[in-house]
Amino acid sequence: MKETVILGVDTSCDDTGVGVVRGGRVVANVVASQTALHTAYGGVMPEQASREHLSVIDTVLTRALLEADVTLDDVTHVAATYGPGLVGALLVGLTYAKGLAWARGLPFVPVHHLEGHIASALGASALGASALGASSLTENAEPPFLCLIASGGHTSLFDVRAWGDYGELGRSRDDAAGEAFDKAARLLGLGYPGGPALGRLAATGDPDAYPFTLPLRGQKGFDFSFSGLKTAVSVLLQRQPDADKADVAASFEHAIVESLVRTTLRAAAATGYGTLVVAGGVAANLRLRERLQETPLTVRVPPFELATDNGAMIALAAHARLQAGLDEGDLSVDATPYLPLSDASRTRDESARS
Amino acid sequence: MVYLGLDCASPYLALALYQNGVLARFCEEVGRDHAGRITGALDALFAQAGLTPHDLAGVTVGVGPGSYTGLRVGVAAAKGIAQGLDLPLRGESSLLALAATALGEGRPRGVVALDARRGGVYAGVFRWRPEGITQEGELVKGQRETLQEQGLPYFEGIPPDAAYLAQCAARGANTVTPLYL
Amino acid sequence: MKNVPKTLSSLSDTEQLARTLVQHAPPGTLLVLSGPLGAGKTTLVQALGRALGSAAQISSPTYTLIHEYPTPAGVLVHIDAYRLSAIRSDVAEALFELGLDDYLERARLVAVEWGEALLRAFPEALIVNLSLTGNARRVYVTQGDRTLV
Repeated sequence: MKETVILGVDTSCDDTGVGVVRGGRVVANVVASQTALHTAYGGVMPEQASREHLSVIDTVLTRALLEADVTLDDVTHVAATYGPGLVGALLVGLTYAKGLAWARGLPFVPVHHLEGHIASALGASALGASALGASSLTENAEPPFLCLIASGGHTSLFDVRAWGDYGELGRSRDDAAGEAFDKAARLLGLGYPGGPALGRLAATGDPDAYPFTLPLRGQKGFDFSFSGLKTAVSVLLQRQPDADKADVAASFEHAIVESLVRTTLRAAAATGYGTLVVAGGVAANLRLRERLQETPLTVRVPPFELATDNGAMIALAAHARLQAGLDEGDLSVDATPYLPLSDASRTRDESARS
Repeated sequence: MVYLGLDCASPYLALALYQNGVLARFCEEVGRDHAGRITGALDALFAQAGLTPHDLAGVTVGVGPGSYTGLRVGVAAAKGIAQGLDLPLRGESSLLALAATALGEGRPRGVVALDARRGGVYAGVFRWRPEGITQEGELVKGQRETLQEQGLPYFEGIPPDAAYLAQCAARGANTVTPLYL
Repeated sequence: MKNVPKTLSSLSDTEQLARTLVQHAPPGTLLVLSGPLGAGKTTLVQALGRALGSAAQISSPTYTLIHEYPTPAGVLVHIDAYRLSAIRSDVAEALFELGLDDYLERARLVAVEWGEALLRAFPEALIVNLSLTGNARRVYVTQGDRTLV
């Protein structure tokens, strides 16, 4: 079989991502971040995001082809995120990719955004350990494994039984973990996006200074809830305006990390899986990484540029689907803003039509 | 030199292929389902002309003014097609395409309008000449009734002529800037 | 509106309110949800989803401002304008820039939290005012100058 060269496009939220995966290895991953655009608004502005995607998508693709050192003549498949996400934003990357695939007569692979995050586990060996220097980055994860996705828009635990076969074990009932980080950071006056800044401040504080109650303690399931923690920070800062911000940040981060880790460990025990893949922007949090390294789990964290939203992970997911012999999908797929991953598993085509 | 014109700015999905005359047309009122219909419509268009995308020499897309969603679909698809085949991409006012439907030798001047929501319309005065259609003055936002009383033929709700857009593609690439309505 | 409790003391009261609102609201209705944090606005939207026959897991759209959910009756759009009100003095204009018209055209129901600024442009919108006294949630539903509940 000819070596596949897959273009992957993701415009589900506020980053325009185009990646290239050649023979299963990431050879390009270009992301045009809109963070600066949205900073003024304290968060994502959907309409502005969609317009920005449309104005930069062709340039991002050109850069990705250059970085991959391929031309469109080499490309064998085009993949794009079709959901979930902001409908206008999704529509840009999806329609653009469909137009490109149609014009070149290439097979088109629609990919669920979270399937892309899960598949970022396949990108570890492709990019090597250089990005973060940890040994866990050099080996790919193959199903079955447990996958924790924690980002600004999603926080979920998945049972990855096989490529294309995912069960959601739990999810956040309110704010996503990254969203909670951003909100707490705003309360602490750290600006947007506040997650990384909060992490840096937390490193200098005492995580035991303010013992926040861990959410959903005693639950049987594997859900998360972070809205209450954010409220607790707000109340604390009202009552104690002089509270040491580093201590508050460290305590808050500790509570989020403990909640993520403990629920994940229970899920690992319930499924019997020894391997955990962590993806999404929150995977970059150092405290979370350290804490996970202390557990008996084999932890695979993709390099940061594959953990946050990007196009290469979409191409990786398409690669995994093709390798697993799953259907390619076709050009009739429409942008689907609300799309549980379980609906998008093997029966994706049926759900897309309904 | 075969050129493709497409417009998704109105409730119509309009496509055409042009080479010294119209080779094929597709124009249907699709409401807001441009995204779901566009690749199927492209297939039908090229089948009608007996051509493949590789025969294309250029693409023009209507850049509105129009609905957020329609414009995104039209411009994103056009960008994908043009970049996929390394073709020049041109953007032209969707009102020009409407004027091309409305005007001709027997009726060379008129007001072309589209719904701007909440009671108003966007409108321009257009003039047809054998060498092409031009807009006279600026695009205005105003009330339907006022514009209808200007003594010029008034057109609203008509389908765009994508063949006119396709014809424009011969002029080469320009900067494509969607006009979100 | 009949059979609507004036205070919401349980989830089933909220469900009852949601069902009545759905019956009363034709496709494309704008629903402005008014009330302080914690008054139960998101809970009401969750109940609206169920009343429209959807099993979707509805969560607060604070991060992306807009969530939309497919239901058998059409799309349910949930907008949280709280963040907009913090950065824009013209919240209504900001919501139009967000594509509110597009959403209203194709949605079964558009529920906007902190959307009071829209009432000038949409005098026919349904307003659900939720207030919190102790543990009880008082409800007023108005449309124009009529009080429905």
